[in-house]
Amino acid sequence: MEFHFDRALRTLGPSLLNGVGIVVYITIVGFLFALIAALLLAIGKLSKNKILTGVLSVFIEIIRGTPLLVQFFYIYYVIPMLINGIAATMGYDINVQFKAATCGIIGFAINYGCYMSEVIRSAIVSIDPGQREAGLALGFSETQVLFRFIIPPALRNSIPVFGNYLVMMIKDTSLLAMIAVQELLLRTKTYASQTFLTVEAYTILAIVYLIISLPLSQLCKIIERRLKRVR
Amino acid sequence: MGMLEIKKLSKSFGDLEVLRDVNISVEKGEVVVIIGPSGSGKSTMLRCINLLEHPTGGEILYQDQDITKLGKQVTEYRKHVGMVFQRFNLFPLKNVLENIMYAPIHLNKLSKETAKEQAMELLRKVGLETKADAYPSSLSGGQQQRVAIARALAMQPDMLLFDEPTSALDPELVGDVLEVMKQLANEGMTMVVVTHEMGFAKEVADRVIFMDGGYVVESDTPAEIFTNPKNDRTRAFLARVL
Ligand SMILES: Nc1ncnc2c1ncn2[C@@H]1O[C@H](COP(=O)(O)OP(=O)(O)OP(=O)(O)O)[C@@H](O)[C@H]1O
Ligand SMILES: [Mg+2]
Repeated sequence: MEFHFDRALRTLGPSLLNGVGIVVYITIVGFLFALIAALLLAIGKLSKNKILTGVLSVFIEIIRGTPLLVQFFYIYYVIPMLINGIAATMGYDINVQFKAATCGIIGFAINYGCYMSEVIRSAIVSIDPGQREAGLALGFSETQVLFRFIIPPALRNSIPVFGNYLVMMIKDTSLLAMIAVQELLLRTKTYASQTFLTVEAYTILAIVYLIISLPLSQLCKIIERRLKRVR
Repeated sequence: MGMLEIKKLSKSFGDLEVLRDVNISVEKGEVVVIIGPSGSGKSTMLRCINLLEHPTGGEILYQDQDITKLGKQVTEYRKHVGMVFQRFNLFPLKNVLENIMYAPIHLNKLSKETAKEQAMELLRKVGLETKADAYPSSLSGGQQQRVAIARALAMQPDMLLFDEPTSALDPELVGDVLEVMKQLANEGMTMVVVTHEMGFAKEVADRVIFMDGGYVVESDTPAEIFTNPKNDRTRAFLARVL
């Protein structure tokens, strides 16, 4: 058995570099939207409105109970079909299609948003109730107290867990190969099938993922330690 | 008419009646100390005064207005009534100065400069001007409680409520906090203080109220309560704590 890592690296490398750009872009944007979705879901679930909390709970259970890959397919294939179908019955002839990368971002925002909302929610309820009382006693309203004295420390306490989710999201971008996003896995697969340098290609792919995620997890650990040290 | 008139106040948590027919009147400038056994409803009563607990029945008149019917206006009322908690409840992500300046800046629209000047003044008053930039977690309990008092004072309240302000402190740190409270009393601050510090009650209180089982059992000058208690339950309680 003979390996040609140098050749593989020379020809696959530049393509993977472009793939990294796409992965980083989708991860950053997806993660930001996931954070926003998570915060909104968490606040919604803390509401006193039983209907709202009920609807949100069901939604979160549905998302957490189905695979992320299925959700990507659903957003990429099913949702446009539904939109076009409904439009057609109303007499409009449209052809909505989402870009695959956009579907990736939407899927991550929803899926990770649901998981991270539970992180934020439990961080919120574990903030000492004395903080709320101190804020109220000074004359702040319940809403002001929530946004000024409860959510900031809750988010801060959630940062280490967020870090883990960020690393997970990077790895999960490989699922997007299935809806034809030109990320790392799809590029590698195409390359391997054209050159038959299968071992080399997938080994390089694995190393590229490690190069991205290892320093990031390390950084997360450092931040976590920092956060613990300062208060 | 007192500044604060509590009339027929009652409070239940579900089936548990914690306060029954509590009547208390507080004059401007008066220091009222509330004593009583654990579970007698002292904290609940105090928390009703600034509506951290909503009473089940009765009225609380503050400057002749029934505050139990305030609705959203309650935030306005709370600005006039400061509260100091047993566990300090400082904001851990803000330093000492920020803890004190935050509410005046955001609720009273004080400029940063004015708020800072005022905060430094208050820190001098509680003897912590060197701790302005420290974070709460680096302070002792006694220091944290004095910051908490400064934070409450920064809103320039008409009245201060204290719920066992020294109970969470190591014995050697209690004195500094009591000293600050004594000074406030001397300056004419209206204060309602729940405490187990009988020495403070004797020395500083204008009136001592003994609560038991959700009732005000006895209310009198410290001299009377401590040397000549009228009620058996008061006597039994004092015999235990003195
Ligand atoms: N939020 C609540 N829900 C249910 N019961 C409560 C609540 N707050 C207080 N209680 C109960 O009300 C009673 C009076 O409590 P409170 O805290 O007012 O007593 P206290 O006189 O301050 O006692 P301590 O000296 O121990 O602080 C207790 O039996 C307590 O368990
Ligand atoms: Mg109490």
